[in-house]
Amino acid sequence: MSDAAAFDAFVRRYASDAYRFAFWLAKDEAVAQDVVQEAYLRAWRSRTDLRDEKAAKAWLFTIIRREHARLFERKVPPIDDIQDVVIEDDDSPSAHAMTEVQEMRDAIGRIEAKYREPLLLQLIGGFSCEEIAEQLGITAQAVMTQVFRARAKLKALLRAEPMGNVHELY
Amino acid sequence: MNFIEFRRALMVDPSEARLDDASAELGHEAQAALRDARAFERELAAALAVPVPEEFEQRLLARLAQERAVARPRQWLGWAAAIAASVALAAVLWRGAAPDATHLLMADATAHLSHEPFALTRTERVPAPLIERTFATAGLAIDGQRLPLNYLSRCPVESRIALHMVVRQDAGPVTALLFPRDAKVERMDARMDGMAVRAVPYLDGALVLLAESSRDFDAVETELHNARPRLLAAGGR
Repeated sequence: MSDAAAFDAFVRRYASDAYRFAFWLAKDEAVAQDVVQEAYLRAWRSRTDLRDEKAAKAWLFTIIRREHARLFERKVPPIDDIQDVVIEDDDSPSAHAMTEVQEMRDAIGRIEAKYREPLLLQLIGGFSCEEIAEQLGITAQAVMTQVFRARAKLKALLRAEPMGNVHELY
Repeated sequence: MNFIEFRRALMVDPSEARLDDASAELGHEAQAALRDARAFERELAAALAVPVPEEFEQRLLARLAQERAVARPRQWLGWAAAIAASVALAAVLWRGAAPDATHLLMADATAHLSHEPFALTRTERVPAPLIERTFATAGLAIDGQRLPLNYLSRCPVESRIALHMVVRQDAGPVTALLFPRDAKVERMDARMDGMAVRAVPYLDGALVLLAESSRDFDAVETELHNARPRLLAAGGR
């Protein structure tokens, strides 16, 4: 397989996950598309840096995180509330289920980025806590704490509970 | 694993297989907690799975194909543009003028052209809704129907983000780089790297026009003006 064909296969394999990861970083469809496009271009230009094919997805997600930070974080004040954002989803089975999904999306958008990002890497990226720790440059223990708190905060938000007790176990 | 460790593990990664065995050992309460945790994970996964825009993958592949097509000439052009920008700046300095913001932005814009030479070859018109959406992401409203663009993209230009537009005119394509709310400049015409360059104060920022000849610059300014671009209160991203 040629270099270009192999890279195109890499694009097809991860495009959806890459978009979803970028979307939840930026909380904006247009920004997410820009970030992923630029990330793939950068990945293509520096593809010789990738020696381990198994690490390809982690490598791509790292580029997306950096690209998002480089292009947009300094340009946009952080917005931690996306209650006004309604994501159209034609696959939703019912209005009730849609409401639940939208409530969860609102909650995901409201938790702080430092908790959301490791959770995204775990659930969209499929990375272990050790792999996330390597990507974020923190300890695996810190990642465990952050994903623990992310889930606790989500549950508290969905039950409209105060978030003061989420450190109960960590 | 005791029950506290089990509850902690549920909140860290409920998909772990070892939790099945642990819940069997710890009893009904643990089994119910595991079921609840995994149901929550399914809801979470459904919420994270936002719909991917139509033909997104195809657009990525098309963009990569363009990148490959221009990669070799661009490498050469990149060096040439960098040298040309340096020469232009040196010429400004040699004439005793300060390297002011206007000249620096014109030099950056000139160098940026070599990054996307394929933009100059487009002939199809950019759809109006796409123009309006792209402008909106930059914090601008515009009447896309009135703006006959052949290329539009948001591009990093040094430390700024520009709306990179190309309009085909009789004398050839004219590139317009719009930096809303950024880069204060004075109106100025110059030649850099063999190209005509015009800087215009625009939308609390700057508009830079580039082409082989400045002949169509006035027409492009008029076309842009007729599309009534204006700043949105919320700003861009």
